[in-house]
Amino acid sequence: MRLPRRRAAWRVLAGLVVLTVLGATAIVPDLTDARAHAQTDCVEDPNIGFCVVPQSYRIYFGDEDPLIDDYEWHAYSFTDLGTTTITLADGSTTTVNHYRFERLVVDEHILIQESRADYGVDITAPGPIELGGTNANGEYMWTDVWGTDLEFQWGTCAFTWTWVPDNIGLDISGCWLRMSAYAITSYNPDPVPGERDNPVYLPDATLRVTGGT
Amino acid sequence: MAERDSTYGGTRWGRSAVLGLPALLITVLLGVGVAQGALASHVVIQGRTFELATSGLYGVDFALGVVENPRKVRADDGTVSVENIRLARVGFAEGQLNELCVAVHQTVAGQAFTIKLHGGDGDLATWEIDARNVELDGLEVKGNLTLDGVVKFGITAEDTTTVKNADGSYTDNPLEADPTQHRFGIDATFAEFSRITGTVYDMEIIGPFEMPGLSVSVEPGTTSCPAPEAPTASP
Repeated sequence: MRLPRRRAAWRVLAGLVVLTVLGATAIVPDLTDARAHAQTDCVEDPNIGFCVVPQSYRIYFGDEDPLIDDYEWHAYSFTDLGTTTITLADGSTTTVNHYRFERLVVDEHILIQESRADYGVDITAPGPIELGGTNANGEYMWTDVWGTDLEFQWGTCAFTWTWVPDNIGLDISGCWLRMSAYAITSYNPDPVPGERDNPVYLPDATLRVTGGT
Repeated sequence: MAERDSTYGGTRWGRSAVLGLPALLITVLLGVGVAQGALASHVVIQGRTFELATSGLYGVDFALGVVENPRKVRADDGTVSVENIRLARVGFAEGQLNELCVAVHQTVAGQAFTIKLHGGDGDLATWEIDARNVELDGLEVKGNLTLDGVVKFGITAEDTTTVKNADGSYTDNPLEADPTQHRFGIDATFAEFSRITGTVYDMEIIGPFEMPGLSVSVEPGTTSCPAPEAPTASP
């Protein structure tokens, strides 16, 4: 009886070695850095300060209720800073509006969705979401959006608006908002590491890349 | 009974040695690293998708970009082709984690196994795992996402800044995005994610990596990391 047990033990040992090999192929301390970083040739927009994606992506704040809408986003100040021409990463230019939200909070459902021919990106969160609240020093944080095709509802939630007054900040609670954006920047004027006063706060969020070959 | 036992065949020691020696060497290297509370200066987890779960991930110089990742795919008839898929590549120049679990699913001779790594001190109030120049590729990430400082959505993936060169300068195109495609990216001065779960294709840590309490286990079947709890203190 001892011989079969010994063989069985060796087989178990051999199996463990094979498993170790399989594990080792997945978890390997590598001694070389083989990464080759390609140079970039994108064109930076001089005012926004970075290379902007050449195709816009959609922003959705709040759900559209077919019966009775209620307020689903709030901004201490919502301003149209005017029409401007921006340079995109591929060197082309396009005309957009520059909007600024201060202390923006979305109660329910936010979606940032980019759809391209070969992939998509969805960032969703059920809310409430902050895109520029108040930081640890009591300073307002804000979010700038360069985009087009603004649509939103406020007031009675019955009419769709496509513009806000130029250079006049609206203290506003809206029902929903849609926009096509090229660039969004959220800014904390005095960030402190670990203070959790982040201008972008997306609890229970999901970021998903879709698409394939 | 004895005759049946003798027909089982012996262990093929030559083949076992070819497989076993490098594995033992790597095991020893891992063991030395574990004993010191740190792994080698450059760690790669790749080759197949795996599940990642962490209570908290805090990082400086955060970047995310959509990149192309060629994968070898073996068809049922055995032919191998290269498939380009789009993934979100995330990078941190300096990072801290609060507990970490990685589950790699394997199948050997039709039997499913899960190789599970767990690291951390078990204290949700401490961010005990230090890492520099972290990059990981994933299809989906879920959790509480917070971004601080200057946050940019719609920056092209190749223009983000995150990992650094040895001289402290930012690496050009750190996410290795195709610079001709100008794909979607996000850049932030700081990022703090909590209760993170995700499906990851590759993870690479180029800089020093310290993970106390590292344990590696092999579990039968396909198992997952436990759902991470939220940290109880800031990093």
